[in-house]
Amino acid sequence: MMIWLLVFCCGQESRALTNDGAWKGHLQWWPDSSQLLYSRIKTGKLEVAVIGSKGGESRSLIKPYPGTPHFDAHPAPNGSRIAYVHDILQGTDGKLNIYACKADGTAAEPLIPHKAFEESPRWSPDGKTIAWVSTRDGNQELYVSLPDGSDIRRLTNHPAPDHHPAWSPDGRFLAFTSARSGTEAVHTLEVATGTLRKLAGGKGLEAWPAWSRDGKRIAFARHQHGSFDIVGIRPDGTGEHLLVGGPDHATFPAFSPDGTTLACISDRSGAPEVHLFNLSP
Amino acid sequence: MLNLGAINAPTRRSILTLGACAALGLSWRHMAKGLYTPLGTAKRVVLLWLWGGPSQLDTFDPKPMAPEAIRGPFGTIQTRITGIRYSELFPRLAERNDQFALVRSMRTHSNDHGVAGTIGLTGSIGGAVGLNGIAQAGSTRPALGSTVARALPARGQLPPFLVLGGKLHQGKKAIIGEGGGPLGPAYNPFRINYGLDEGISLPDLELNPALKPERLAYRDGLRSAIDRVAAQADSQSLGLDAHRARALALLTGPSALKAFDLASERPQTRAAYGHTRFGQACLLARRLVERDVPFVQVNWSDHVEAEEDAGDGGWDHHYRNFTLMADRHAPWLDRAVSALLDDLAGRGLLDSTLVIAMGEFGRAPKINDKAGRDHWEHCYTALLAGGGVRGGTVLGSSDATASFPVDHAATPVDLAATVHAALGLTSESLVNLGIGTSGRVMDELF
Repeated sequence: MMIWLLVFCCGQESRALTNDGAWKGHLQWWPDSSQLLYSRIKTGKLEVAVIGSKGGESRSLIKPYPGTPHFDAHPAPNGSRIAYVHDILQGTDGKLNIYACKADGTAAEPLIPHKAFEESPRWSPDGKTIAWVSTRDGNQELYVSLPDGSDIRRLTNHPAPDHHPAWSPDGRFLAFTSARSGTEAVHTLEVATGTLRKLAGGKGLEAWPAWSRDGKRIAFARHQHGSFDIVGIRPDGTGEHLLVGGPDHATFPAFSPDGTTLACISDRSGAPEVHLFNLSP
Repeated sequence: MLNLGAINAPTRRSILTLGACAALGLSWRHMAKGLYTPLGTAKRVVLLWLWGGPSQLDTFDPKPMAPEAIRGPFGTIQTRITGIRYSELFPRLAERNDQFALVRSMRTHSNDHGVAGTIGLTGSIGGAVGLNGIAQAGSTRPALGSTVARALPARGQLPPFLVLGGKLHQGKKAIIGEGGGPLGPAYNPFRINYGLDEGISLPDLELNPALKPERLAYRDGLRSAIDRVAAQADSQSLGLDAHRARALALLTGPSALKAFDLASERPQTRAAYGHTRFGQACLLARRLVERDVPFVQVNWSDHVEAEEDAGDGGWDHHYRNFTLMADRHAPWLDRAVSALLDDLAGRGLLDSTLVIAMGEFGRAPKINDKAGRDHWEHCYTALLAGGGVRGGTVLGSSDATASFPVDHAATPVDLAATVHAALGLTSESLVNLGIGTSGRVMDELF
């Protein structure tokens, strides 16, 4: 029982950045670690929000407010642009589009030529490529393109959904989740060769992998023991360890670019909030 | 007209038939379809309306041996009942399924939200309007909550039929069947809106031009608005009919204000339900149950689409079904319903409160090309707890792909009949009130 009362992230207590009780997800750090982007449902609206990593007031990102749901934002490595998912409602249905805006949330425009349901845009570390998920070939697969949306290349091809991509710091690999082995599990894909490796799996639904700055660790959310925990693992599939556990949900891990902090969405304080954990050297 | 649940005025013949059977010592349950005796111990009902239609496969009727394109990415977990497995996304309910029953063989007669919604809420297709805008033949029947309100008049300080949540919509059209229908507007529900940021508001108060446009959040806005209403002793000046004036008086009384005060709950209790609109509405439902409201309906959302409420909508997961289920809908439902059952049981109210959680239909076994599941009217699951329902019961089963019921197929009208039976309402009493039903009571649940 005691094990569930401890936070395993280097033995540190967490610091809550937000305190509004709204649902949150898709946590991403700004390149200089000064702020975080996340999705939230505020007064019934799904939107991208920004908050400083030291705290303070959060604010809506996209200006002017588009009036339709938008979420899952990811900043370019030089901080000049932000890619995100814009759900354009048509009748009673919606269409997921990948858009981009300036860092201040203005000048939103389509980034990837819309063909199907497209989501989870992720800039490569060198900023020269974007990975994303699309159903354009029948089910969710991983794709890459140039930042202007050209030169689209399909990376995966499997009847099971492949999604939640995350670049390794050196840009060689994408971690992602796939149900190709029966249940959702974290995999890595070497982009140049197409080599796949299943890292974990079989212990509960796994989602939203994120790489540490040094590339030596991948954190992801796993549904186990009745809630989501944050689990760490080496890219070769060894050294699995619990990062954030407990009876409450902890999801959407994100390592800060400066390597000092692990952020996640946790409801350990009673509602889903952005929590920060110091990483010991 | 497809008549799934006739609401008939009593006829001389029916009354004579009932009398004759009673004289012969026959129980209503053994009589013709639609005639039944009380079975349960329920005194009130909480209906958790999962608008949009949850997937039966990704909730309580998983098919782990089905082909990949059907079973989906979620694993399954063992529940407290040996041999019964749920989607791994419902660990709390899996730990508690000795407290509730499932009907895994529900089916309905339309895959249009508007039509199936009307059927689900009224037990009849009459008057339903689908996406094409064409009204189905027949007059609209009363909502289940309205029939209960008719049969079990208000016992406490609050109106007998309360709906927590906005009006149900498909697209921009409100669906038919949330009201009293032929029973008259006196049996329309009184609606209470709740939002995490907005707090509680009473839309009917907002209909009063004198009160627009202020928001009526609890404590500040609501309190002042109520004071203004109370100051206008003549309800005619508010433009309200007698029923709504009475309901308003009840809702603005001290008892109601106390019932709505979620802030008086312990933080741990509020957290147990989850800080979601649905979770806190379930907590509010428990507070209304404590005040003996006969029928409380909690609407998961106003709209069917998850994104149509700009992100906070329903279970109509044509796309991103698995992401939405894992990130939001499943944890929210698992937490809220578990907390509600625990809370009611802990307060000694579960035996006297029938809790139902269901949508208007299920979702297609075959995963579509948008990582979603489309509408499926042929098979879905309903959850029932309390009110004399035997916990741990699984009634009916579906085939290998959760496409069709294999046995004990049941419809919303059967569920309505079962609700009536759980409340101790006899066919005779209902017929005398002008509320007939042709449903089959699922007496295996009791």
